[in-house]
Amino acid sequence: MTTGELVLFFAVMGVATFLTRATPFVLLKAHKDSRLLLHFGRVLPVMILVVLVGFSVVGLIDELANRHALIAIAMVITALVHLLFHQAMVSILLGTAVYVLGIQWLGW
Amino acid sequence: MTFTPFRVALNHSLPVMLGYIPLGMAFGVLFQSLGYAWWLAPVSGIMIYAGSAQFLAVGLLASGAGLVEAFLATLVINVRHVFYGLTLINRYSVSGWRRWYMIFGLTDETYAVVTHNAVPTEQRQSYYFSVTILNHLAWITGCALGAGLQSLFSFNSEGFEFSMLALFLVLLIDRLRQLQHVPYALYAVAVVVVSWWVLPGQFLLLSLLGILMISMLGYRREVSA
Repeated sequence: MTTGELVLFFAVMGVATFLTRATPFVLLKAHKDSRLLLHFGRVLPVMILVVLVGFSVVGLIDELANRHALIAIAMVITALVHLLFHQAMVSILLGTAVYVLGIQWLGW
Repeated sequence: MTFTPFRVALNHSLPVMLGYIPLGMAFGVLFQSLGYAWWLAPVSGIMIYAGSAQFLAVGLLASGAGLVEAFLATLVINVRHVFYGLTLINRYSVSGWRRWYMIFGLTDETYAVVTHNAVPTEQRQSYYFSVTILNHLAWITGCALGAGLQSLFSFNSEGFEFSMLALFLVLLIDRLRQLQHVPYALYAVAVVVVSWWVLPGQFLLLSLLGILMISMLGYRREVSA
């Protein structure tokens, strides 16, 4: 992909993001209390996050090396640290550190 | 003491900015693994300005996804923002380019800051605008720092791709602290497993369609109950 194509890729994702943020201000004033919208707002975010976790796991598994166990260990550590300390940055950095060290130092 | 919207905005935004810089750096380092010029990382921070979508962009680019797939995936992933806007329609009352910029910059964290804090009515619009621009600047700085440092020192960043998974996992756990979300999370796990099993090549789109269908079914049940 050339630099121009990459910037176009960003633009497409930027427009899509902007559409989601601008829609209520432009179109949905009348539907502020719509039950369907409220229902979506309640149940979609958690399901989207599950899909994103799945997408990320699949992306890691896809690579050549056989790292299933390391992925599982790093995920458990991230989750445990987050359940205990509630600090998103700490959990992300620690989990990533475990994964990076597993690959770079232990040659997983 | 007089109330200056910018100073108060800086005060309230500081925790978000301190979080955006390392997270932006993680994105910048990850972005460098694609092999593009480092300054394209802050460009994506300027143009997209959505953490999840930018991390996802790296995954999409690595897997050779097309523009249509990128557009649809971004729409669905950021659909939660629709619900933020709904509660701000009356609050964001300024008109013109400042309003459009405030809407463009309505990230999860910016939403949290502007809805969490009370400010005098006549100062509100400058306050909202300042919070938006401060957070955006911190995010762009993080993206530039991560990608720039990585291109300068070219340290071995193998394994940094885990940060995307960690980010989504942490956000998911925060959601699941409210236990009423657990059943829908389990439905989504089923959707993910089935999509992966049926059509691994179109895994993302298939799962996103699947969860949309599940939430519509859930709505019908709720209405008829």
